[in-house]
Amino acid sequence: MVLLLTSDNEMFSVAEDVIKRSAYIKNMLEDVGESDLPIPLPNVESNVLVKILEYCEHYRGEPLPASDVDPAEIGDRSLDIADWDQKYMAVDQEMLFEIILAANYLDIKSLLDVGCKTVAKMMKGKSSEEIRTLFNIANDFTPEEEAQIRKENAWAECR
Amino acid sequence: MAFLSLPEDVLMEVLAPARPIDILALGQTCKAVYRVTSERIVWERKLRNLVKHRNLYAPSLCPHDSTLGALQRTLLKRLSVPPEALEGSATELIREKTAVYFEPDSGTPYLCLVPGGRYLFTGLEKGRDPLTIKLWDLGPVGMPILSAPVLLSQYEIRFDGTPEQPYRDVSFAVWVSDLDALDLRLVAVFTRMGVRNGGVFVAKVFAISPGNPNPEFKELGSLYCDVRPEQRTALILPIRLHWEGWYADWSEEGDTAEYYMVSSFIPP
Repeated sequence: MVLLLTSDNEMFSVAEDVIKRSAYIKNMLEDVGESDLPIPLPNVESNVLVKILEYCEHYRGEPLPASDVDPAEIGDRSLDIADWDQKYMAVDQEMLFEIILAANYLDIKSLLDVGCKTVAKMMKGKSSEEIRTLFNIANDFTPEEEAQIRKENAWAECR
Repeated sequence: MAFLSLPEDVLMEVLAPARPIDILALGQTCKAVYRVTSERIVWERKLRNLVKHRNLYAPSLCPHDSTLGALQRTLLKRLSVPPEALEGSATELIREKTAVYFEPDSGTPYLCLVPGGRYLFTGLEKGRDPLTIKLWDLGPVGMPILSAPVLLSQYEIRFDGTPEQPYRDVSFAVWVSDLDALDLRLVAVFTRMGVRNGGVFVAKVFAISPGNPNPEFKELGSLYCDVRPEQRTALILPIRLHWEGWYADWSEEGDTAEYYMVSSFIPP
């Protein structure tokens, strides 16, 4: 078992073959070897770690993806997401971004990929205004700047 | 955790699977996001993946010397290659639909259109040896084809065919090895079949970078394969280049013989 300590000081005891989906932890275990000391995860809160572990638990036993695959390569093929992954990602936006951040930090490529695809699907076909509403982004362009960018991109919009 | 609190490197990851048109829209939402979506690397990465997965070669759309706007336009303009251009009938497409003529009546021409549609290899056989290969520029993708293709480079391939044992069935294969290197690999395969004593395949591999000024054919290496008489059957499959551009294989399955060969080219 591996001990993980979250940013809010909760201790998790996880089977090694579950958490090894995280390349970060896997490398650490290989470097440090057996240890009773918990691995601190100062960037991950316990509620997020629970969610991450749910993913790792589900894919327990499945082969780890090759580490040198660029997620963009898979991503460019399509925005298809497996059924289970879709259900797993049906969380509020806040949690979605937390998962993406944690997957990036813990280096779980397949999860990062699914998270990014989920965001890409949310944006798909939307206008800038719709994306602002979607992600709660405040428009900080001056009207002139906005006009300039619109002009730059005009060729794309009138396709 | 809000979208805008994602650090830049994670935001880049989020952009990886997004469609180019959606990335442009996202960039128009606010300054911080615009800064990230205007990074060249975002678009170069997209272009590389597009080319890699669709087997396209578009050096006119070279990431290194094009502006960010040109890169974005490239990705948005749907690189469409007619499916026939990726198959054997590409040569017919060139000849019939565009009426481009290459040195009529001066030998047997072999044509090979580079995926992407801009570049064309021709081989001209005059009395077996040497075989002259040329690389032509038909004009930028998406533009009307040039009425007079520009000859970029030519090269004479020599092989030791003899009148008694001529090489025949010349075939070409082109591979786009690396968009960054702007490098095309051309494989020319010659077959020399003896009547009784088997035959030989010779494959020569060349590299050329049509995006460079005055590109030159560079011979990278060659591959020989002996076919023993008992293995000889009527059909010879054309050579195929593997993903890396460094391997070639050809295989044949017949009633009495089966052989399969994978070998790496050793640079001279």
